Amino acid sequence: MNASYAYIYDDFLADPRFQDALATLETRLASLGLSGHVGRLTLFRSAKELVEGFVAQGAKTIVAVGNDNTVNKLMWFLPDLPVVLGYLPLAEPSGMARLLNIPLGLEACSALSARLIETLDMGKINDRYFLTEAVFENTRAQLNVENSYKLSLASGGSIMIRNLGTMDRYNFQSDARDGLLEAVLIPQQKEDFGARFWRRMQKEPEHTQITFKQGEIVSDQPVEAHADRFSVSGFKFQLSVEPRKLKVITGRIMSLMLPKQQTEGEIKNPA
Amino acid sequence: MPIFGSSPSDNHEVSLPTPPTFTASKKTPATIIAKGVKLEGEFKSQGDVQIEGEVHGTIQTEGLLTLGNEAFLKAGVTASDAIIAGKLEGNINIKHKLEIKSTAKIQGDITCESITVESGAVLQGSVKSGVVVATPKADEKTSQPVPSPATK
Repeated sequence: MNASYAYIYDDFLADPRFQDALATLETRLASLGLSGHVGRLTLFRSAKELVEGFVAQGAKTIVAVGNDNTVNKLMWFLPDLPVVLGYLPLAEPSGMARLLNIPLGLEACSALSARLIETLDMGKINDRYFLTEAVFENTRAQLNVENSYKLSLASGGSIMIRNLGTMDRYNFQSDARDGLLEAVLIPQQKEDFGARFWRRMQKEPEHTQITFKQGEIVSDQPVEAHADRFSVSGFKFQLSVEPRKLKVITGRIMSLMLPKQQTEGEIKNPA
Repeated sequence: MPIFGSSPSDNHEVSLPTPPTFTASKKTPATIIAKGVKLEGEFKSQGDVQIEGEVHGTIQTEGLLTLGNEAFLKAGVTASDAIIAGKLEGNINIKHKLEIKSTAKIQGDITCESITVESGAVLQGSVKSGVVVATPKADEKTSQPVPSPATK
């Protein structure tokens, strides 16, 4: 057993439908020399205490086994711990896995085994971390940026605060290594099809896009924020970025064609 | 050592290039203020800025500023280069080239190094071209234009 790895199984994996897949997964991990501690999330068990217990026993890699909700259960405290996050997605939703280019199912073991680590920025909404994006839909809230200026949607619309990217729509990636958050404001469409088609022909942008480090969303009406796989309601939200906060094992290096002259990102094969 | 089956204790920390994004355009400005959005306050940027909406305050950028033909600015503008096709009420300080389109309506004083004005543009205010304007960095205060010995 490799004590530096700890696997956190989500509670839905206790369902008999997943038993065969888990057995195959554990055999594969053992063959790769990646077997480690195993902990199971349950209703009455604190995920934070479970993970901190494994860290005290020497675990340096915490692997979420399940789906995006499993990662979400760990994300609110994991960036503050001296560990690397791994992810083995076995079920939907797995939008986070797609953004990190981790395959669904058994093939995710390959990404885990390669152990290619990226240090990513984390977004923060009030006191809670988010990795992918925070979305405020159907709102007239305004975005105040760095105490310098404010943006508002004249007829309402959606505000998306992106760090890594959009999980479910369009598989839109942002750069989670630039120390910035990206705000995208999409006005509610009141134009008819013809007017929108004409604007697209003229290549006029349909959404507003800015980058920032710190800001706040303020609204007269209660607004709901959906970040990663959690939701929170309120009138005011503080937004900020914590640069290079979370170390994650990703599969992204496998999908990028690196030019030969590029020095960053080369995998140096030891002799 | 091969990538797969590497020792679990090995850490291959890599700095990757920027991942590809959904937007295909290679010249997408860093900042876009689209139609239907209003910006109020002091905006500073280091990259290109494209405005199709409404701005009240000041705009300062080290890159190219583009105002669409339906944009409305009630703002002082400082940029390296600019293309103006919309309505602007405020003074304009451009370090290099200013291009004013036929649909532009400008009410304010213009200072730039070179200027192109299309037929149909409406200008109300003074125009000084052939002037070297020192464009401040995004975190510095705006400086005054320095007249150059070159004539228009």
